[in-house]
Amino acid sequence: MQKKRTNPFILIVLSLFSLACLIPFWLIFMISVADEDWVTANGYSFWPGKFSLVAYQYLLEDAGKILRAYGVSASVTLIGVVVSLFVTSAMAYALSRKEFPLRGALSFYILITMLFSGGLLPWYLVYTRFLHVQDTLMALIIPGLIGGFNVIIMRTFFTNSIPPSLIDSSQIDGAGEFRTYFSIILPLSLPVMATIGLFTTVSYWNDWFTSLVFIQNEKLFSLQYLLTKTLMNASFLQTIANKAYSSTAQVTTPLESIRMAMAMIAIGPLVLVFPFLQKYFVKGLTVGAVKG
Amino acid sequence: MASEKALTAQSGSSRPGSKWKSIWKYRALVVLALPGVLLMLINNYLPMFGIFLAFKDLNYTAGIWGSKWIGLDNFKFLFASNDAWLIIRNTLLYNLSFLIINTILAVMLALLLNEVKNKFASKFFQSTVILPNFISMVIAGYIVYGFLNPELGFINKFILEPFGIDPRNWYAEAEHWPYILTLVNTWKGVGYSAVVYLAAIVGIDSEYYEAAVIDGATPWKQMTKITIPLIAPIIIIMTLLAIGRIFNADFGLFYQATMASGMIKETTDVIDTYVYRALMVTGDTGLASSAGLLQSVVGFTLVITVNLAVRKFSKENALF
Amino acid sequence: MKWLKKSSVVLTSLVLTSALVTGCGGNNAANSPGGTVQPGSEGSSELKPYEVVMVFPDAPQNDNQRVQDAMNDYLAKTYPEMNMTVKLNPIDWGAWSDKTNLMMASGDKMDLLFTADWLGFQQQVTKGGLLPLDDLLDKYGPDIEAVEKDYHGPAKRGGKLYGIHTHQELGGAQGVYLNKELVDKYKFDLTALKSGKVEDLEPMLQTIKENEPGITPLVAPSFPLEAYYSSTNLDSIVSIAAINTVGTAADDYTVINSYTTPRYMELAKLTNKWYRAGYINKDALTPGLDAWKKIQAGKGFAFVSDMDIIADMEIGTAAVSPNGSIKAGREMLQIPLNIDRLQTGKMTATMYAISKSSQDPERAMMLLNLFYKDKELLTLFNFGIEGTHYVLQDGQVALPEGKTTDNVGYYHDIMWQLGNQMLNYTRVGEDPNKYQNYEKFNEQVSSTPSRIFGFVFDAEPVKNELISIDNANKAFVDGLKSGQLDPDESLPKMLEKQKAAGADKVIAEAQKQLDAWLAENGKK
Repeated sequence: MQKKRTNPFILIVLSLFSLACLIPFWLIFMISVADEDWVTANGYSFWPGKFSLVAYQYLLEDAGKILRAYGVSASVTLIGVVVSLFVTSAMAYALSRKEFPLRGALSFYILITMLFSGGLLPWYLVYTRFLHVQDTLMALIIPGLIGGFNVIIMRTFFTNSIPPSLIDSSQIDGAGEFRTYFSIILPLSLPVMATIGLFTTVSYWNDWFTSLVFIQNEKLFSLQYLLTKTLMNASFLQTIANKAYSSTAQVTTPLESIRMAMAMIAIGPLVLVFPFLQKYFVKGLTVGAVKG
Repeated sequence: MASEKALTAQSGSSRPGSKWKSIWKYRALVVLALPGVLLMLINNYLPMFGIFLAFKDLNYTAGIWGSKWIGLDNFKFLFASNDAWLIIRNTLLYNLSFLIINTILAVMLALLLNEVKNKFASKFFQSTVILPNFISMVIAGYIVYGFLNPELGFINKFILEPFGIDPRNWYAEAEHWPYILTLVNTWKGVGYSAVVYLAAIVGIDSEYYEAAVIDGATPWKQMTKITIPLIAPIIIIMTLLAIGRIFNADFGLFYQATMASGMIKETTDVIDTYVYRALMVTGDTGLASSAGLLQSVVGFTLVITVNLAVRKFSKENALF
Repeated sequence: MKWLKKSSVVLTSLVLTSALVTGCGGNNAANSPGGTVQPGSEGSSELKPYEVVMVFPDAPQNDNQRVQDAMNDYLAKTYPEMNMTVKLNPIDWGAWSDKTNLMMASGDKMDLLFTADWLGFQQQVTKGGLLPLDDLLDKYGPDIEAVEKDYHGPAKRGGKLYGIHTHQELGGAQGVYLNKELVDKYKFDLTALKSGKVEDLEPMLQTIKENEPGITPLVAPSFPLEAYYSSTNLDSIVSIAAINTVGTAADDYTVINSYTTPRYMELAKLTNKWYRAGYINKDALTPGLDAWKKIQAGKGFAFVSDMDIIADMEIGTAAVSPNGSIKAGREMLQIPLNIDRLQTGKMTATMYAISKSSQDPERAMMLLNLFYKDKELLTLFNFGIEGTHYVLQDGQVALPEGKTTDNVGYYHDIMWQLGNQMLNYTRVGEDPNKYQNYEKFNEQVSSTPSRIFGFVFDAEPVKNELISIDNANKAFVDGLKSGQLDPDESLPKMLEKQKAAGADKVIAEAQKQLDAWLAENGKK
């Protein structure tokens, strides 16, 4: 498809946009390596006058905890994303078949889950009293396995980019629904699988709330929870500082540089995931190619 | 498991005989959909008894079931304030402008990304635009703070001051915030939607374009006549889903990015931040249940209405 | 509308869930106390073993389990007749309210629970999450009674006691901290502050502003209006409702709107003037700002805050602040401008309660009582195991050689949460007489009780008004206290908004409840 050069105007616009997306990250990074006193005196800068690695040294002290949390987050994300892609795409495929008599009912069933919610307490009760998964990795995995939004997006892709004739012809050839799903739909939907996979990865990786609710055992804390709770503790203590009265209730805020260093650590792996998924975005994996 | 199957089947029994038969015919599809249906049952439907909490005065001893019914009492606080109108207005206006701006920019961005021919450049741009989506709102709030801090912030210190412009106290001046919040929201969200649209564009059968090129269609023509019409269904669905949440504000954005500053409340207070503060005052979670239910009902009504309109216009593209 | 017919799916699943709900309800009932517990009588050797679960806010400690084991060894050795063990269940501050709410609502087993008015004590009582403690206290809490007997009133709801106050300082003092170096440099005359009026700080701020570019004269996030206006001038009831105690007769119980006193206006004007003169940092309102950090960096001169409690505190008298100097990393002076009176609110600011889901409330009370009498047990909880987590140097606690607070495995500063705080060791660097100072300070505080000490307002009848008033305040209060808003213009606006939000109704309700309380207690 490399027929001609990219329009330079497009390149300029995209470069500017990319810059706008990158600059704040540069700022986070610079605050994380800036000398705290220098910042207090001179302000946030893209090139601080004095550097310091205090924040990263501080985090290194906790390396054991952080590595373990990395492990928890990575396994939860990996299992979660793989299972979720199967469940989501299978449901989306059923929905995408116009002949399927339960199509309308199922769409409605999904829509309700996207709009109505019973709230935190009943949700907690279902997982702790009914499934009994509190304090296990399952509690971190199950809640993210299915999302109405993803199913609907995927269904829309299936209906629009896979010609019904293709499914018909495969079924005339004697393939059952399962074979159609595995050998036609899945290979043809790599771009959307990559997209939804990316979103699911991000939401598993960034999820800290499920840990907060279900995990008591420190060894099962996810990375985001480990980091977020430090921030939450600080801000909570600050808001209550003048209510607790006690002169002994000392409020220790982590240094700004530490907060930013944490953010860097948490984003790291995600930055690596996307290029990996990107190869499924390359043009050419289209219906035509498979048909031929 | 068995009961669920029965349940799914039973629901479609409007024309008993033939319906049953056609479900049986497509039983494989039922099996494919089943894991998702079950997960939603557990994760979403079972907890829905919580909706009753909106009408109850929850007592831990009596349990959810035994607690007293109090009718619409939990809803009163939403309208007790004379700011109710302001909060609803803010929520709707922000969500509407986010929806419009995000959709337009995301489609444009996807189209532009699709035009990049150089493989490396293409990957680079795709990666960078999605980057802001990876960070949490808390951190985004700190980034905004890094720029806007009235004493040390980048804008005051390194842009306004050197040019001899008086530094501004951003967190005290309400008039800037509609722009700031829209900017932050776009920055953080547009990459996400753009990737969805890009996936749709990439999925378009290249035969269409080959045929168009043979017919001598300009790139502009190809875009307006092929690309956009073919990704229209996904745009419509994304919009429909956004409309369902038009009453729900992004709490992180309005709370973290504003550093919860009260003086800019006029332009930054939305339903979710109001409910949060009410919770802080009373600690009564029944308030959150009732506000959530109200938001859901409004969203639901809107989706149903808009979906009906879409159905009239093009049945194919409707949600159901 | 084909889908409507299919909504039977939804209905059926609702029926399904209702089965679950009743299941949960049943569960709750089974968990509730009474049924399973056979309270041991005095003969006590028949007590079955019981694990008391203690839930309190704290960052998780690496050696939590080791300390817990040590506490259990100690309990088994010293109090075998009680036959109990303890399970320490710390919950992170940031997760505290979500988590405890869920645990309480779902009936998870908890025995002793830290609570406070600012952590939803009122809701926990209203929602039936806590047990009344009066009888338990009578039977099993002699050591609690020895120090806290007079201070139970504020934690009573409907005549029953629901929380036990930590024995500690009964109030605080607020005032200004000054960087001693700069005080000496400019030879400031601190006797000017003898008046106890923050106004007299102004000439110093001006001098600093004129001569020390780059140094903020008054470092905020804390302001006179926030730090001590209300503790000096008011006996607060709820939200805006309070009694003005300055310039009114001692038997004056008229409830007013606390934003309408002349002193509020004075202070708001003063802060506004200082803000415009550039004495106060402009980012004062941003959450997360730490004034100490600015002082540490040598960028600030004065700031308003809670004082160190030291020996012989007196309003307007400057003294070196030991803790303040440690925190600032340089010598700091403190000048108290207010010393608290005995207030209802303080007594509910740090408490332990017994959860309704406790299966043996008697044992929970026994354990709580031990923390008011047994220094060794309390020390284990607060400082960990001697030799491992701390060493004693001249009767003060220090970190073991080569250890830091981060890697010692058990280090927290939550002495103020539990038991009799005065029993604790002090840390090296602190005044060894800290707790003697506290005791003396307490005499000072309790000799001046608030006019309405013990009165608790029931907010239920004006719940929505309170939300609405808070909403009205939100746009102004921060701006007024920090001087960023001109009170001549903003204060009337805020009062008007408060009125529209139902301020009068709240004040009338407060007056009504207060009058009833006064009559009941023979004060009027």
